[in-house]
Amino acid sequence: MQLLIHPADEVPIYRQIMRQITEGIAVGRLKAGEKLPSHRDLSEQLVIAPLTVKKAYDELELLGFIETQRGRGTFVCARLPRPDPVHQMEEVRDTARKLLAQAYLAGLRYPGVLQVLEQADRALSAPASEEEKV
Amino acid sequence: MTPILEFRDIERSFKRNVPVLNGVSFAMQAGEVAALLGRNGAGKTTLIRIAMGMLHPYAGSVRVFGASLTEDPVAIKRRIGYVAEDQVLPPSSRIAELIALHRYLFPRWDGALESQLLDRFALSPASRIKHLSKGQARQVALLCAVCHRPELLLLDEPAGGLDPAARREFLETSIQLLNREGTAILFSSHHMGDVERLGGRVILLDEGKVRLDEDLDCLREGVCVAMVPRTSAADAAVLERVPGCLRVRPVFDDWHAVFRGEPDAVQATLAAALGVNGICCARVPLEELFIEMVGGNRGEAV
Amino acid sequence: MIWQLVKRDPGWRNALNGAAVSAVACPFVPREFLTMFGVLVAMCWFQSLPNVRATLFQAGLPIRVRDLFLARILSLFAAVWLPVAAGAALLLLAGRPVEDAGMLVEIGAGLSVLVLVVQSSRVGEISGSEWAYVWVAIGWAASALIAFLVPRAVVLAVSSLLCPPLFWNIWRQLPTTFEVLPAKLARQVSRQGNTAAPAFAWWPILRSLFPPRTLLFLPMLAFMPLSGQWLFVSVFCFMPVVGAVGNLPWALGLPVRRGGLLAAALLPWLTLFLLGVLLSNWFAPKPPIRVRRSASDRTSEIFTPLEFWRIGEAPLIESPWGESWRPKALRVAGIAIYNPYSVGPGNSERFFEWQFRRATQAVYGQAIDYAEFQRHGSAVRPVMRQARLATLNLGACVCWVMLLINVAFTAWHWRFRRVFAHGQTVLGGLLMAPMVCVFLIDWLLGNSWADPTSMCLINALLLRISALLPAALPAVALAAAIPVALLTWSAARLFRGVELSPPATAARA
Repeated sequence: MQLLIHPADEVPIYRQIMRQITEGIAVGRLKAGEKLPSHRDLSEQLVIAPLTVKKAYDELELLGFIETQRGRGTFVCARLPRPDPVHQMEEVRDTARKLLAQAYLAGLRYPGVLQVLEQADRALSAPASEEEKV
Repeated sequence: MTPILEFRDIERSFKRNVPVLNGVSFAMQAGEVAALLGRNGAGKTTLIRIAMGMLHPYAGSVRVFGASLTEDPVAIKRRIGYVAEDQVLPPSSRIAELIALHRYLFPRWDGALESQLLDRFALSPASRIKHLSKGQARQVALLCAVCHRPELLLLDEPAGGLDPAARREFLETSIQLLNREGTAILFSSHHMGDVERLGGRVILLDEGKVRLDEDLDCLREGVCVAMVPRTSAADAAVLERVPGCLRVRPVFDDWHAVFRGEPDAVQATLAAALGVNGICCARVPLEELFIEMVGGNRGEAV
Repeated sequence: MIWQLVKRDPGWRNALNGAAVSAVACPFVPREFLTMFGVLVAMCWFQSLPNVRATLFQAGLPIRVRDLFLARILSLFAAVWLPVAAGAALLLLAGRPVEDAGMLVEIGAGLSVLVLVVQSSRVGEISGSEWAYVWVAIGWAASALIAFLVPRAVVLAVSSLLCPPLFWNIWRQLPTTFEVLPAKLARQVSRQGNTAAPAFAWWPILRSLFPPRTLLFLPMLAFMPLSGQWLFVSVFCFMPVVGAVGNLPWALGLPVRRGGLLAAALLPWLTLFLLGVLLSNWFAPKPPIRVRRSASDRTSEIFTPLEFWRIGEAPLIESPWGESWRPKALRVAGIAIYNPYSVGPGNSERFFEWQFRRATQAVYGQAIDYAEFQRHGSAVRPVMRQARLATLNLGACVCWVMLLINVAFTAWHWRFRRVFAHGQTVLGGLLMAPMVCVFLIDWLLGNSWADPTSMCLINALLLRISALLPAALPAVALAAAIPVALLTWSAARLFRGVELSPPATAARA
């Protein structure tokens, strides 16, 4: 899976990595048990510091999304952590606000937004190789 | 652990009574990456030159690899790679001659890395320095500094004047060095994107002192900027008294104030202190943070 | 507009400084040293960026190329002719013969040709080739030696005939705008260049230490010490060293010993300088003893160099057979000195002969009869040029150069600069001070028939020191070497504290 980072984003680079990995897991692009690149490889690939990668991986491990096996590498956990809605609701609410603002600007009304959401849900449930369409 | 580079209360001035460095202290461990930020003339070049022994501090001391530079400068310099923006390489020398000189002076020269970099930078060893563009000359300097696999890299605006692709190549080389040799890097740069990529520690110099010295991500996540309308606060002093305030500067109709803390918490604090709700507080990228911390006033009424 | 440009030109500044120096100095410089004055004028020209037609900054301004060129040529000519004119005028005012003034004009004419020749290289570009002007200047220096043989009128005529066509040649080639980079294509080098290490790794450092401009010091250093007056010539040893050190900042980041760099910068010039001084022991322009015999009033006088004169009120000099003479004492700066080999108007030929033998005993180390001296000169070299004193002389030379270098490094030292903010001016002053002292000594205490007084003082000092030392030559060498070693050690120590800033990105900018 390809990760993209922007240095001048609002969010620090390690969080961008974390977010993209968790999103990848959520939509199924990253399967359970899949091997992630090592610190070194990812840092050279994305041209970022290896410690940044390490920080991202450490945080993800704390949250329970990935695990490190000594001598073998870093893998996506076979069993994903139980969802923690309290923690992540903040982000979901934030994203929802942004989505609605965008939709209203585009001239959509609330029912239109619901339609868009249903389409997205169907796309997510479809096979993981399909491109995510917005 | 002996720090690999240590500055203690460094003072230095160039004009009488105008100190460029006025009590700068920090230490770097082996394998650490630190970015020196500051406005032009803040003393970044001076500090790095003091570390190289090219300038003498008027007060304070600097120790590299635990030793003072006056004891055995040659042995210490063998373990350091140095690139400076104002380094004027001898114009009539060929690249191959420069490389030969460095190969002779630095026993740990890596020939494989040298050929790899020559290829990557598309440099021909027989060309003379004066026939190269500024950016290419800088790449030659980088090559010479990096190929002997130093334990400490001192980079003084290494990417100044380089095109984005060349800057990226330089970053790649530095990260390779970080990964393979665990080189400590102290660099000064104006490209915040590069600073964010290389990560590590941020040391902000302002008016001769260290204003900020913390990990980049902690800084990004632990500091936010509040935009307070002028009508809510009569002058900057009111805002400066609010706990957690780092700096206030006027920008057109607002005060931009840098606070430590989460945006929501800061918003609440400001509401309590000024009696105004809904003040916009947000985390900002490093470049904006830099400007807010050391930038000048904008839109002042004349 | 042109005047605005000229005012800001380095050539104009040098012209004014050179004119001031020559106005003050010329009336007091003896004829033999007027050629040295020519070197001074050449230095004025040399320091005025002779191959540059415009700076990068000027090339970007809305000024016509013709104006830029005229301003440059005017400044360069000013750098040559203002000192010459000032010197010649003062010489004539001081009552010196027209010949001397004519010599200055000849030098000026020769240099004018050089100015134009150097400016003729690569007219379409912002500056001519640096190598070209170095070779041209060396060629001119060589031909200047030949010009000694050619009558003055010929030199002046040839110069005035050459200048207009040279000027016209450049004028018609002037472009509408200057090219700021060399038009000749650099040879295309293949990517597959061999990275096999060149045999000698130190080339880049040597190239920084000895840029093409410094080659111009070669002929000066090689020939000028032959005159024996090395106090002034030492400047030409010192200047390229200081220039070389200024090119070193990039090398200071490398793990190279500073002492090694200093040695590399210093030794070649010092060796050349010392070689010249050494050779002057064999190639002396004139014998040190001069005799003046006037048939009309039957007076004679024997002049030895000042170092053989004695201090104090003149005593009565008594010959073994009773004849005596009390020389007239000269009062110099409150101190009385007298010529112990003086002959009075009433003394006999025998007295004269006796004094002459005494004089040659002192000057040559062995007594020579006057008649034989007139026929064959002296079989041996003067004492001042024999091994013992020559060694001490060499030691004194090196000490002097090292002293100047110590002064320069002190002024560049970071502790010094911390206290004295205007380091460069102070440096200039500190360096000028010994030169001015030497000059003042030569002028105020000058004598028009002998060597410059400053050299005489040094020779006198060396004679005194030689008298104190044991007879063996190695002891003398050791005595000469010790102060040299001390000064070298202190220069190396000072160099460690010298802070060099990177040179302003070239005189190209």
